Amino acid sequence: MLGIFGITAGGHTYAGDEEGYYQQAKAFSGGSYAFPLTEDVRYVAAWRFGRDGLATGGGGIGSPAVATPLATVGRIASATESGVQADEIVRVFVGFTNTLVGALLVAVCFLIARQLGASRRDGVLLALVIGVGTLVWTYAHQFLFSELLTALLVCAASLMAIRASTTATWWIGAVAGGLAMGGVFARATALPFVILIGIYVLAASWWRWDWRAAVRPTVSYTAGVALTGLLLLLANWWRYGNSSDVGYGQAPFEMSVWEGLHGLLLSSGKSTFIFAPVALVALVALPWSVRRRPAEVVLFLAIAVTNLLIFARFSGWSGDQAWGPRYMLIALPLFILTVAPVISGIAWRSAVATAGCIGVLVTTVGIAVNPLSWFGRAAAEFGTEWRDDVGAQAHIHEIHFGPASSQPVAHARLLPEAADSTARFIDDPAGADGRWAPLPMRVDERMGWHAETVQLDMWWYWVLRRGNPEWLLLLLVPISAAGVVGGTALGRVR
Amino acid sequence: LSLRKAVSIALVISAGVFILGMAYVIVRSLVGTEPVATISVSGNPPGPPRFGDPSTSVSRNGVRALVITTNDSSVPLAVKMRLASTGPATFSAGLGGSLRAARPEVVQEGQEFTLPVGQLPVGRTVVRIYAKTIPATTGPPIVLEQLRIAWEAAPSPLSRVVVWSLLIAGPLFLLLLTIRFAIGPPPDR
Repeated sequence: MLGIFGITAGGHTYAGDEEGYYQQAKAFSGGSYAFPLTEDVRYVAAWRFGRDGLATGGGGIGSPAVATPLATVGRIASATESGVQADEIVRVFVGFTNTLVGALLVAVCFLIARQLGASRRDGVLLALVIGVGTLVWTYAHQFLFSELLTALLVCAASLMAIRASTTATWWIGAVAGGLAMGGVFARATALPFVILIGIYVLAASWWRWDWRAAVRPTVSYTAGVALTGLLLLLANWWRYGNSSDVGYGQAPFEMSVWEGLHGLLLSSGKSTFIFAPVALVALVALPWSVRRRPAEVVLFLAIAVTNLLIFARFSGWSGDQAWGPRYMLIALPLFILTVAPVISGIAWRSAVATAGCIGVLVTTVGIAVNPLSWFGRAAAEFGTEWRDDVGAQAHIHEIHFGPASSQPVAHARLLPEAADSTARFIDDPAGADGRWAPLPMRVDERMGWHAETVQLDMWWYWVLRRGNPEWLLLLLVPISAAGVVGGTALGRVR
Repeated sequence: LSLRKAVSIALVISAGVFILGMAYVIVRSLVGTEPVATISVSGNPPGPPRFGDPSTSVSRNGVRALVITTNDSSVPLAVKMRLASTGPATFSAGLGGSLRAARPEVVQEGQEFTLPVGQLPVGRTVVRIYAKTIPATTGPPIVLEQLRIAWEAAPSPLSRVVVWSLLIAGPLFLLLLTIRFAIGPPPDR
């Protein structure tokens, strides 16, 4: 997965949230919580005033913190460059953060599937489908959205919680608690999952053993939550001067829940089942899988339903401007994993593989073409404002509810144009006729520049297109090697 | 040959095609192709270009397609090219695919060469310019003059095939990988 995600990574920002996280990670790598609020960053990055009145990142601290080591490597690697080129080198490195997070997430999904009784081969199949047939691949491809990290931490916490309840081991419970609270580092909305996983640890241990055995993992889980929670309070104070400030402003959770549910489940442009068809298989399999592993399936379902209800109330439920129902990604892997207890049945396995194949096709068009390109085109077609997060504009509404304008359909239509533009660039990389607009110096213009001409949206192509130093392409060697080693190992799975 | 074996072989092939395609894109982009000739088209009434930069050039061994929008079919059209590099080159032009092809001509350095395209029907017509030169050096593009012309450059067939192969081989590899784990011997437990 490291090979697949690494080769197809985008390597540039797609949204203000990502730009804010990037600036924050770069500041962390320089030893500061604050970053210079230049004119070109001010209007494109998600930022807040920090504790000293300096600019710092908005949103959870998790993604920028995880990206910091790569930002540090990028800064070292870009030491000989200056200006835009130096910044672009750091971006290429930071762009691999979600590559690593996504690959880890797929590995954790495999381990969970095994815990739920799937064979090694079925576990690989399910993890593979989650990895490349759902939103997971899209967000491993994109720059630094925090949903993927949240999903990883919630999944890892669930895995350790299952281990804690089956072995009644105290330290595993503590790790589970730490990971569950770690999800809140990435997104504040993961807080309810901490409670749900805690209830599971208590109930499942009690059910499997007795109340005495249940105390040990439950207490250690609580201790893990408390310790990590303390770290979060400190981090909040360090950034904002207020330990209870988690980085988000007043979020408008005031929409009709039915409207949100319709959009997230049944709309033609943002339904979770379109962007992750295997979720439909998991939904149908629920009555059977809940009988096999009731405690785990109920936990995963509770997390998925809670996440769904939270974002069904959110005015920006669609997660625009981004690919698919972005916020559903947080609990999507766990929901899909509910099919693990029954996947040994040939019918379920075939259904998972078929849905996975459809998912691969849908996801591929989301990877090949920058989502911002279609948002820009749609806005031009409908003559409305490009940027809008609440679905009020005509083109956004059409993307959400007009089948012909939905992202998978529109991206498939844009694919020939992307292929042609890319082929043109190969033929004439110098752009002697002035065809290729040069990379803008301003940060806010660079995001749009990547979407203006529909082209292959992968980092190594952008390195060529932007005229970044060619040595960056050497990164393809370890990435491809990881893919080859993984592929060889997979070949041995029977 | 079992289904599993066939899928495994197809997996390796698709991965190979993807990697080769990627290598082609990188190598071709890094090596680059310098423009060796400049083109101008004359004959139609003057007017602003509909889109695109109103200048173009032909790269070494390259193909350019001019999409010419004509509003007067009585005015004959000519494509003018000037070789900016050293050494001889052959140029040829084709109208609307292989409908009418001009005879390839050898042009010397700095020499201006006019391909008489003739009268075109009103509307859009694709004129393909083929250039074959050795060696190549950079030459300045000149502006397409006095035309109501909209042009777009068509990518070379090879580049187009490579990019499409890349776009197809990637997902095909993943589809085959998924199928690979959905078939085969019974589970290991």
